[in-house]
Amino acid sequence: MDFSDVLYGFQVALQPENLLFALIGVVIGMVIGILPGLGPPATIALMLPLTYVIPPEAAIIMVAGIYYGAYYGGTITSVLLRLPGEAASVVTVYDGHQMALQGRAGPALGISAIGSFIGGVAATIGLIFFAPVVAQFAVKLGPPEYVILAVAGLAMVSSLGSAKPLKNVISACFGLLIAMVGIDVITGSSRFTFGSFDLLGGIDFVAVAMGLFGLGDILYELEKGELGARIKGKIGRVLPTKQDMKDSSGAIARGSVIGFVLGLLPGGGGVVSSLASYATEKKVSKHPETFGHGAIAGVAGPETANNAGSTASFLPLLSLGIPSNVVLALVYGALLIQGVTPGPNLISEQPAIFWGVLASMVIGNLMLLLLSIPLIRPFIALIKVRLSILSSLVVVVTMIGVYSVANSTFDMWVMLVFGVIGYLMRKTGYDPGPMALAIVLGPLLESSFRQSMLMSSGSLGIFIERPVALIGLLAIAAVIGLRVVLGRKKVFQSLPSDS
Amino acid sequence: MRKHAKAHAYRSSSLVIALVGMAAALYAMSLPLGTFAQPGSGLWPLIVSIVLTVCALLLLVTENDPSDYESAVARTVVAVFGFLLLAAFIVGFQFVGLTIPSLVLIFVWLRWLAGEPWRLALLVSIGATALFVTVFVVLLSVPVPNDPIVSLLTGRGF
Repeated sequence: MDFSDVLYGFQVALQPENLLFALIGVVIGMVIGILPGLGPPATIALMLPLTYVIPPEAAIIMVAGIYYGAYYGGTITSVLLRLPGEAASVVTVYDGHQMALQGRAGPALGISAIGSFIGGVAATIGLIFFAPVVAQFAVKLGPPEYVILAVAGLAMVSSLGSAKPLKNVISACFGLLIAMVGIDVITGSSRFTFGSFDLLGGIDFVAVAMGLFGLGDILYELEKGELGARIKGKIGRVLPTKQDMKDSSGAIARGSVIGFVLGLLPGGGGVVSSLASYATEKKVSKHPETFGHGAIAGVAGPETANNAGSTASFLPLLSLGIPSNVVLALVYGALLIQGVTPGPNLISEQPAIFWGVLASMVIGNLMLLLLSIPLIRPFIALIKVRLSILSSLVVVVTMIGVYSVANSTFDMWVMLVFGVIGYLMRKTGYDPGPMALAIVLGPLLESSFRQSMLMSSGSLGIFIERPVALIGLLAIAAVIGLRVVLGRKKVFQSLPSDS
Repeated sequence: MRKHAKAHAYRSSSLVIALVGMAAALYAMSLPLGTFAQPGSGLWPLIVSIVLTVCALLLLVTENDPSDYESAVARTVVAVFGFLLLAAFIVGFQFVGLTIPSLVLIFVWLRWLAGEPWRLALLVSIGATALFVTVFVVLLSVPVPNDPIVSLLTGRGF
């Protein structure tokens, strides 16, 4: 790594336009993240059309800002309402909400912001060092290795996702089928188009994502009839005391490392990192009995790990071209809209995007810290906005947004159909995440698989004969095996019973 | 018998998925399959369809816990009405552009789906529509289909 590359990244990120879009991303992420029911995937999906009209660096910088902004927004609702905005904030509920009930919501949110900042910056520094190394290595990978990497991404998401693993595999298979709609790039023949001219170009990922996560979520929440939220407990002073900082410092340091390491794994990111951090903190604490009753380390550790993990999960996307979770699949979609294909060549072909995005993460996390402490109270007021009012406006913006990407009313219908599918998936216990990830990984997986078959004259042995592919396969088997042996149950055993 | 069928109703989604998987497999077989050494355009869809079908059948047989499945409730009609309203919006958008469909959608959504008072529904729908038309049609020049209201206001006639 050349240090001048890092400086160049900051040069890009500090351009007024990019600073503005980082700020917009962080604020939008926080605002939408605190609205019940709309987590980071829905927020990013709804914002995808906007990325179309701005330059690539600014678009990805904004999306990255939405990503960590939305995670922090989810923390606010976890602490105040005992309502995690997304899965990564689930563990924050246990001690964060207890702190709120004790009149210490302010310090809980303050330490979350500080931990998120430190975790995010630590992970970004790790990315700056490791991403170029991984990208250099990735250039040497061939189709069989890419098959294994793509399968690893899907397998891990299916194994670690919120729904049952078998349901996640079904969801992923549907995504792979959807990815096949259109012209087969190798033979030029049409597949699953049923004579429709509109389907020849394939199904647009933006329309699918906005339907699955945006419309599907909105209608599902509207059916529940959630009205304005009632905040329990007092906010208190937002800045943590010296004692709070002392009690949290170890948790923040450990959370940064745990988050970064687990964030690199396919299927990793904020969720697994925050769970592992909570389990670790409880284990190393001298007073484990305080966990679940408002222990500040139980908020600081997971929140730090959550942000470090989310940041680290950019590495597989930026250096290998493999999104490791559903949010990164949406970021991948945003890059594709811009005509940029993430992968090992991104550093050499699009240095402004690669280094600019990494540098913007430091700046964006600083913005998050600076904004979150003074703006916690105004953001809390937003929680009281009725989803019913907001949703009526969001659906119109969504419709115009998806139309504006290609000026196509067909895409509006696609979004509506996938909105129905997303709604039905929630009603039947399926997670739309693996489907979205499979739509993104589908073309890469199929073309790599077919190329591998051509290379090996039809022998599946190619996936175990090549060392890197074999190591990848063993790693998948090990992680799935570990998941089966330990099970998520064991991790959850460290969590307090539902309080 | 009826009670028994109702208790297993949640399995219907697995059955539907298995049937979709089988249909996709049949369709894939109608495409050139080739061989593993020379894969045709149908081989990959066939593999995925088979995996999908097998997983759905496994789920059909092994899933004994219906807690994943939410049955329809009284407010499900709100979601159904919401989707129908959005379909009507798209049809309207194709013929008369943004203004009228946006106004109608927001008003109906607020008044009947969300149960907001008439006055609020009216004010928000008019205000939001004016904002959307200004931002998307006037400022961002999104090429929406011919909008008679915008044409009238900008003096271009219908």
